[in-house]
Amino acid sequence: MAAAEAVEAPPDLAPAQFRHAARDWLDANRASAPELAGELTPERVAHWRTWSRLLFEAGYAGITWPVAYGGRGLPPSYQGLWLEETARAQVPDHLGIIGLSMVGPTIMAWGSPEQKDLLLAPILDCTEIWCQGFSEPDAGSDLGAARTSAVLEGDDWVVTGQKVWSSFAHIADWCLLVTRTDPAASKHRGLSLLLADLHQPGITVRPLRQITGDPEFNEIFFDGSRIPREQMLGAPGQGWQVAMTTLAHEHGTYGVGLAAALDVEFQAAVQTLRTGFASGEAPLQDAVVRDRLVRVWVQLQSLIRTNQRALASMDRTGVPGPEATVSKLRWSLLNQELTSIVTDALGARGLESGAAGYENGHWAYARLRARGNTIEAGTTEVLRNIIAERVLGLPRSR
Amino acid sequence: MPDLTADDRASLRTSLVHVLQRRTDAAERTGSGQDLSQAWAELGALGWLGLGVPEQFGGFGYAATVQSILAEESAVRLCPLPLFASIGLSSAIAVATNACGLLDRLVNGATRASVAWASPSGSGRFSDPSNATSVWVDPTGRLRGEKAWVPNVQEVDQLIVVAHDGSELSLWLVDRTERGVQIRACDQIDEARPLSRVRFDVLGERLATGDVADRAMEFARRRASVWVTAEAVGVAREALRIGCEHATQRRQFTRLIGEYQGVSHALAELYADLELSRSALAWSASALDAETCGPATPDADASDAETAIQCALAMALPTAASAAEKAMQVLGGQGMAWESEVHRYYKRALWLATFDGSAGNARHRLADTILGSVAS
Repeated sequence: MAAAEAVEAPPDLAPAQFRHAARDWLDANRASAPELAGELTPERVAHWRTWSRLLFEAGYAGITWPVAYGGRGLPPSYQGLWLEETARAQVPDHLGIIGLSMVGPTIMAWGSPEQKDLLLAPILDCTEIWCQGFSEPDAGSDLGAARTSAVLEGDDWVVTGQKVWSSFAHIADWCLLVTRTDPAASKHRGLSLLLADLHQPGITVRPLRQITGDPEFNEIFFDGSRIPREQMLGAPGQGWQVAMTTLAHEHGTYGVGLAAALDVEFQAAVQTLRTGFASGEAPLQDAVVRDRLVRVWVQLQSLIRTNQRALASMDRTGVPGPEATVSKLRWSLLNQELTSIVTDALGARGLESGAAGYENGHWAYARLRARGNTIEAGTTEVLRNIIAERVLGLPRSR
Repeated sequence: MPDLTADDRASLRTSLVHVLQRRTDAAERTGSGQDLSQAWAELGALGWLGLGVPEQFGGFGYAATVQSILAEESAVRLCPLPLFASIGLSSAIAVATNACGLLDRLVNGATRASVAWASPSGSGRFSDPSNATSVWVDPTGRLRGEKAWVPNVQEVDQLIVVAHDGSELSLWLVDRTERGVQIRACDQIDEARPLSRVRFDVLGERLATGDVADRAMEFARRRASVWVTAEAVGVAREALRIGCEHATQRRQFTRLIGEYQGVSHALAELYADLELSRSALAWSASALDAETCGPATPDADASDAETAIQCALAMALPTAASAAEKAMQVLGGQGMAWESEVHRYYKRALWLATFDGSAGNARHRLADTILGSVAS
């Protein structure tokens, strides 16, 4: 596997220049972007694909991907700048974010030349969408307990099992699939990563309805579906290490965009809370509301600077520094608190959902959706374990 | 102002740590009355006495970013030297009042100073407008009145006194050893930062009055606030280290207690608070330096320095206290025993929240800036 490397900033493109170019481009093109929130209807997906193609053509897909694979080879901090600007412009990023930020780098690290040739370019121009097939009903935080089996029959791996909580699976073309190929081996050692074409027979994707009402994630059933052996990523039994690469990338720059978006959402919250109702003064006048808001703001501004430090570390060394481990952990709690502050203040109006609801039902949706923040992409409990064990050197927990 | 890279700052920190550790150990061995002049000479040789003093006065330059390294490391060891009083606070007032004679002596180590700001009947906060009322200039030109909670009086030879002259704020320099300066040590819990009540009946040297004095206090408040934030980061860092060390050594029920998530998760959250505090400190220090000297690079964060300073206080002050509390909790019974170290850090955390108010005070100020003021 290729080692992480420092990436130098290009001498002819200072961060401020990159940021201004991105901002100008977004200002000029944001009208073409789909809505930031909303169900993944076929119309919205088509619109989002077109937008992603536009991003690709403008050079904003694969910003940190090596030039050899079609990217711009810029340091991680430039990706951070892009994420800040899209948050400020309130437009979505590329539809294939899973492919761009997690699957693509994993294929670059572990893939054969043929796999790279086949799979990387379509991620960038959004002709192919990826999802992750990691979690199972009995294997969530404990990925090592995955049981979806893959058995070699001739030149194919025959896959049987079930994946769950897979975002975008119902629009995806490919799945990065964790399977158990050696039931006799102890836990992690029996896993292998397969690159599964979701359009093949024997695969069923079933959307799951989330508490917000919309089907954001999915189950994927594999019923004897055949995957050619050339589509194993890494060697048999290397699945755990390959999956760890994916998760490391998930934890890398993921939090930067989230914190930037929360900064924008904070201003939206302040605007909402300026409105008084007939019964009394505006919530923004209330001392308790003000203190709750400022507490969020203080942590958020500190978190944004922590993300910047982590990116600078990544620029210098190729890997995120230990401070990166707090990014998603703290963002998730802050987002939950902000949505709670607003809905607590709105009272009954904060229950209204849908387009006809108060402020389009935005805050009711946001509060419910925020409950998932401390669960997805590593639960809060697991993230605390990671900090305790890998950063603080505490013994393995129980 | 010297432009320091991350590597430069790391080297400075290393050399500083050696000196501070040696001086703190020496102080502990010999008890009170350690040879300050030797310690001070070592710091002078490193250029640290000139921190916050512009180069034209023979100093190191403004460099809140560099000063915060000294502040943080001094707090990690609870170093008994009067670094905050003299370098953190007094130098700032000397610079802002253009007190060249005093600055010379502060930078070359001939003099150490502290600041007597707090009115005994006020809140004790540095920016409390009632502070000046407790010391006045009498018709003979002598300073009269009293100050409370003055740091490190016995470790310095000069005091800068916050007084009023008629209706105006007035700053004075007084020789601490004069008979007209009556000192009574204050029994208080942060023993690593001795505080005293001081009664004045003494002639002093006027440093500034009116607008110049007001601006000097503002200047000093902001520099000292970054120093206080840095001490808070140092306290939290050391408390975390003590907690983790104990959690990896102590066994109960045949296991290391760090294996229990009740313990490890508390320490993990403490680590998160510490990193956020560290980031806020860096932000406030570089914002203050940018405002004073211009931004270090064209890409530098153009944040308002005052907002950054208040945000950093609001983040770091509670982190220091809760870090010490969590460390004490992890230590169990030992955490409540005088002979363990953690309580001394807890007490420093409590002092830090008194310099210019608590996190709650900082948040209150921030609310007006970021949410708009409350309509009357």
